[in-house]
Amino acid sequence: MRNLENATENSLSQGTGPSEAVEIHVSEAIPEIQVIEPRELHVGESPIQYQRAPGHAWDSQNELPGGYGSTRVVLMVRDPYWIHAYWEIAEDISDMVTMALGPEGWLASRKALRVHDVTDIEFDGNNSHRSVNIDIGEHATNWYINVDRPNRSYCAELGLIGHDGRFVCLSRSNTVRTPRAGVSEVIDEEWMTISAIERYYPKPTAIPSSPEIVSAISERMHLDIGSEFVSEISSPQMAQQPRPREFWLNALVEVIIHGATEPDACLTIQGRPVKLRPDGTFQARYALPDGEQVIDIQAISKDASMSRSITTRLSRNTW
Amino acid sequence: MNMGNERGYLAIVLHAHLPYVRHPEHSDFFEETWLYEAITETYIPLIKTFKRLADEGIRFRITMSLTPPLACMLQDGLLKERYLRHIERLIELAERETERTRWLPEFHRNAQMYLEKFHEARRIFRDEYQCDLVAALAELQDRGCLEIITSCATHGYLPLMETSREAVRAQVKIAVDYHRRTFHRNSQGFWLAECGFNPGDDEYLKQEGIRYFILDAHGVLFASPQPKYGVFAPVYCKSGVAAFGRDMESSKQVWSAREGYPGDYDYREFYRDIGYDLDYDYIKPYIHPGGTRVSTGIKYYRITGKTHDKQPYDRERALRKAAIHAGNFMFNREKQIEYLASVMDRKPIVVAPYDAELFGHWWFEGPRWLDYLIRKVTYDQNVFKLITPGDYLNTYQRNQVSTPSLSSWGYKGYNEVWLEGSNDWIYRHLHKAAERMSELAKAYPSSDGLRRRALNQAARELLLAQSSDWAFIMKTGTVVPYAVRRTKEHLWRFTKLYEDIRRESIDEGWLSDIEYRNNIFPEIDYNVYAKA
Repeated sequence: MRNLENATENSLSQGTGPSEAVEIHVSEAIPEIQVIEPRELHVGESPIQYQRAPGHAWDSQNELPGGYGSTRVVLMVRDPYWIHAYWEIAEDISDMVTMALGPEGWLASRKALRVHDVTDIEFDGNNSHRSVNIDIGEHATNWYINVDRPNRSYCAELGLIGHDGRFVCLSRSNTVRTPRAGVSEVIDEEWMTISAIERYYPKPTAIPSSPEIVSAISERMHLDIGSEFVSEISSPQMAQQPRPREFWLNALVEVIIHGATEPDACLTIQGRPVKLRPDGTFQARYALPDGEQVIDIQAISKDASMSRSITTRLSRNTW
Repeated sequence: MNMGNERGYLAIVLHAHLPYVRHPEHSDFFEETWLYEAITETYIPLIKTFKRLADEGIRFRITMSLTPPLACMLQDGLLKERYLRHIERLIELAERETERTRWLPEFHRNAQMYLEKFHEARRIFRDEYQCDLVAALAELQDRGCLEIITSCATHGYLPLMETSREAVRAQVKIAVDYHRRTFHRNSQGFWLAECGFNPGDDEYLKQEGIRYFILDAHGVLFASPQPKYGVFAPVYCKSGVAAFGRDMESSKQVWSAREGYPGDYDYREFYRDIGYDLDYDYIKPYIHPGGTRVSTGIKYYRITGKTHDKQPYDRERALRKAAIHAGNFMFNREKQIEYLASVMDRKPIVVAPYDAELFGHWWFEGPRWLDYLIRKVTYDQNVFKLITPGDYLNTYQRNQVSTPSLSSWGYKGYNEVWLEGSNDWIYRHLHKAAERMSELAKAYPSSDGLRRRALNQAARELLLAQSSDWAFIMKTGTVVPYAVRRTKEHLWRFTKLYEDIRRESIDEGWLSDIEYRNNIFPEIDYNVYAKA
């Protein structure tokens, strides 16, 4: 994982990201932090805030807005062990926060993301299985969060932590479910014929065991046999040959034969007709291999009464 | 399909997709050549192969997913004209090449091969199918060779669209409706863009009458409860839509950059193109209008080995190798299916999905390999038959119920390709636009006149911004500025439309202009966004 300018990462377990912010909290073990019901503080959408350039054509000056004027946080799943959060905090939250934390508390507060494990529960703000506070700093707008257990549901609260440790929730995210990282432990079989559901329990057959499948899949992940290398057809960069490691040189030889005759004459080079331009000039181009080439150039007048020919001998010798 | 003495089935699925690259505002636009190259190198050779097999009376079944953006481009008048212009130019270049290489027999043969291929492409495109390749595919479907299925409306990546269920539903419904209008029949299956699946998405497929979709192996293997037959039989989601899993073994033989067939030293080298190799002044009229060297499609070398010193391509030798590889693939499937049949109490299905553009464009000999494979499967063995997932479900209507796992066929198997440092910035804007689209659809039901046009165009701009291709290009670092521009441009237009509609001041002149530029889904109905 790369640390980007405004994207950082954090961990619900040991973590590979900035680790000083990491703490695992079991919710009942942190009574000093008061979770305030977010609905009371939810900030409605503000008017659209972005600039439109004069004229109607899009050009690169027309950047996307930095924000949409509302406070929100959204979670997305990256894989069984990582989720991603992005957020926006509207500028007009100060009154509400001042009300909740007091003017001093507001000034001393830090922005934070509280990530809850809400697997199989109806989350009410207080009942998560466990949660972690992530200090997101002033300027971050998104974060990759390492979650240690796959196949769990997560919800995040975006808020402020006051100097007295109280947490003010500004917005609560959607709930996401991370995928399983292996074969399901559930082996009950249910069968369905379309439009009729029935059950039976046949004896298990030989499908590979979970560790075999997981190792086969991780092997595949490293083989790069996904679809990706052809998803995009023929971009200039992709079509360039990968630069060879060793120093290299190519040298090819081509010859250009050019000249002129009467515009209505018939011209041949080595017996093959060559088209004349309207002014009677011509040009032919050949890649020249090693060895000898005898080039006979012949022009015959339109009425076939006259002809001229020139023969050139070329030899190329590469060593 | 008649079930006979075969022990199992092979389902080859070719996924044909290109992002919507149509730029009427420029007379010569580089990214459009993605389409032209794919037409010459992949779509026409595949159509030709399937048609010849059908004409010879060989019965076979192949599944092809054709995404709506690709189908729309193939039916677009402007792009058809431009393709003809493109192939004319290639023919002219190939003619010059046959002259230039006259004294080099090994290259001259190849130059002639390209000249013949380009002439043939023009003949098939213009004379045989009157510039309508979608009709050519529909004809192959009607003849019983192909099962054509649709895909997300603009190849939107559904697992990262979760915050707006309306947007997910629209990606499905718009595609299914478009498919029905185009092919005059319902799509049996649905190709999820990048095989990206989030549990619950199947409900939207069910609503539109879809019977199946395809996942990467772990999407099915990690389903819960454990699938009894692994990926060798479909499972039903709770909705009753079937999920088929990709077989890893057959995938690896074709896909793998290291051990797959396409890397064989006798096959044509993709990267040595005369667009890069030849004298600049000579090649300039045939490369990027700005003068940047790009591929022309004429490539004279074979892979040769891990060396810069490439040898000339030998077509006969390459085709012999393609036949050997087809035989090898068939043999491996026979062994695999015999084994599976011995441990299963039903006939197994091996599902082998590939990007269609691998065949011909990247793997030059790919269409011939497929041709040999279909012939050999027909005449040289009786262990398995070719089948489509739809046919399999007609025979095996009873299947295990299991919920597949969130997954994709991208690198590492989940969402990371489309959600990482280079592209994560797009989602806050895409999500917002999707929410606003639903807001508009609910606020202005059954609009007409100018507002209806604006609402429909807003839907088109949103859909085009959602193409998974842009995030993918940002990640792979190929034509990043183009992908960034497309994302911002569609979002910007969407936002302006949103504002104009809200303020009830729609600029008709501007609207007409963007309707003309981004004309995908002529019959779209924005009301699809009103329902979750």
